[in-house]
Amino acid sequence: MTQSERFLDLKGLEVDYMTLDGPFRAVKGVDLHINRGEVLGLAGESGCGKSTIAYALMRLHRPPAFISGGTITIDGEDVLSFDEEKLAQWRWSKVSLVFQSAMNALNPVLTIFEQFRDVYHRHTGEDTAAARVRAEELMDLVGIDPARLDDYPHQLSGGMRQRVVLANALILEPQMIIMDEPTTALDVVVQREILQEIAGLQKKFGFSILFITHDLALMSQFADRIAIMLQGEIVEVNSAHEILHNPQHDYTKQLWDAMPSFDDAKGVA
Amino acid sequence: MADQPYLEVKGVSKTYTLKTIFSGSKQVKALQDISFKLGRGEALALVGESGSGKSTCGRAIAGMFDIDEGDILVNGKSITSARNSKEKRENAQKVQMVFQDPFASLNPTHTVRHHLARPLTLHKRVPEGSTLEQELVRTLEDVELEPDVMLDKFPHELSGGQRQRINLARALAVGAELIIADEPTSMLDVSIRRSILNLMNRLKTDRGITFLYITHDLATAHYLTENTAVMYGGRIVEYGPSDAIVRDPQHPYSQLLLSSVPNAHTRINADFEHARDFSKFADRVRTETAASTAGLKEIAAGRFVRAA
Repeated sequence: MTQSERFLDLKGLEVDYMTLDGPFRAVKGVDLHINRGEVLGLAGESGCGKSTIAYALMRLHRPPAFISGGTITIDGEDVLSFDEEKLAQWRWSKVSLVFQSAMNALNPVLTIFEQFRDVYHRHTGEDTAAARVRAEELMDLVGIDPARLDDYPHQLSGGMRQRVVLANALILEPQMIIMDEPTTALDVVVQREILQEIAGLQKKFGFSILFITHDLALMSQFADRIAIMLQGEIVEVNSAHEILHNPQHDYTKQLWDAMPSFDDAKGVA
Repeated sequence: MADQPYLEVKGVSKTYTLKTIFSGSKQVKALQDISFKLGRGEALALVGESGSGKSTCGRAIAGMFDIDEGDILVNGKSITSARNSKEKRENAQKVQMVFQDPFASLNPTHTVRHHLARPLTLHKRVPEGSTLEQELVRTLEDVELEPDVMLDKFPHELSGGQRQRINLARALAVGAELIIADEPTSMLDVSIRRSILNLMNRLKTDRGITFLYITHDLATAHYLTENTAVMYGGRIVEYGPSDAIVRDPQHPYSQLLLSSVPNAHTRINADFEHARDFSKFADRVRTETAASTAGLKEIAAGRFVRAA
């Protein structure tokens, strides 16, 4: 595999949190790469450091967290060397982020359109009319009536809000989207709808995805490769097929066993 | 005891009136003609999406609000007829709830000891010859927690799974016979979800606790319960043995719900043009299910389906 196929390349990434008892290493020397147009799943339980990686990738981590070692290379550029101005311009246009809770990711006192316009104006300098055209295009893309642009977030259902957040992440045509548990707060049916939407958009635009979740079953429906994380370390990386049919690490097996499935013997004695 | 159900819900309906500032009032039918029976020591799952009325149903049985129509019998006695605080306290003692959010359902300023000692004293659950301390230890052992370590901890010192165990312990301390568990595992990590399910299963089989398990997760419902009721729009659309519903769902909405459960063995392969087919199908099923007013029909022994 040549270097240029790799869109994202992490080498020995270390992230520490300063605590009263000294630094706590949340991410312990992680090596990970994502190819262009690839969907990489990152799985693990809460507190294993998977969200910390997502934040560190975009340098959105805040004290007491800081990156103490390793390199982050995205599209051939050294992310750790960017200054604030470059970072602000780079975030969202190259790599964007979709959070778990769509309600918290949207500003409740701004209409949907205003949230689109803010990003678009800030990054491209275009005026409101141009932003409106782009926003309507995106609403069409995720299957919501563009008339809803003038609604406030609370007027939309949970699934629609998550679609809006997705559309907003796409506004500058990024080459990678980091999705931190994008469907966890949703119902199963809506979860499936959003997943179909993400899969469809990914096929159409070919961006890379870093997909973070703790639901292995959901992840293997969708990811090309899966990385399993435990206590700040990646313990297994393999194709989704191999993780499902031939898990190597004990922890991967444990994660599979932790989920009751329909094939389980009845729990009722 | 099949002939005398522990919990009997008979034709319960509840309508909320929403009053908004600008438009007139709007009626929301949260529950429409809900009926089911639940035997002692059995478990029933109420399954459905947000807004289907499954939590409202659980709260109605816990007596948290008055219902408009119908009756709820616990151990053969109507809870709607409770007149004074003594009768209400007796009902509360038998029926307890465990909520979804283990972080919000414990008081952050009090220790585990306080959370468990209060129900024990208020409901006079310390028998003669025993001490409060002994009862605290026994209650914690019931939920498989180490009493010496746990008693003086505050909620923030506990993990999500431990907090949910404390919530179960709190319900047991009151002497609950029916526990209404409203999505007790959905905010927990997958890796500890199963241990909480196993604990509930043991309480059910060893202690004869009756469970009403409210969830949107059909796999865990199947794991814990004998019967499942699928709800949509405030009504039960399908009712029957959990295994039969999972193997062979009859109502289109149950089928939709089941087909949405993540299955590691089927890949989502959508090109953009067809990505929304599933969504369109889901919307159609929802609309049709909401519009149907047909009654439940028995299609096999103990299996009921509402005509689509």
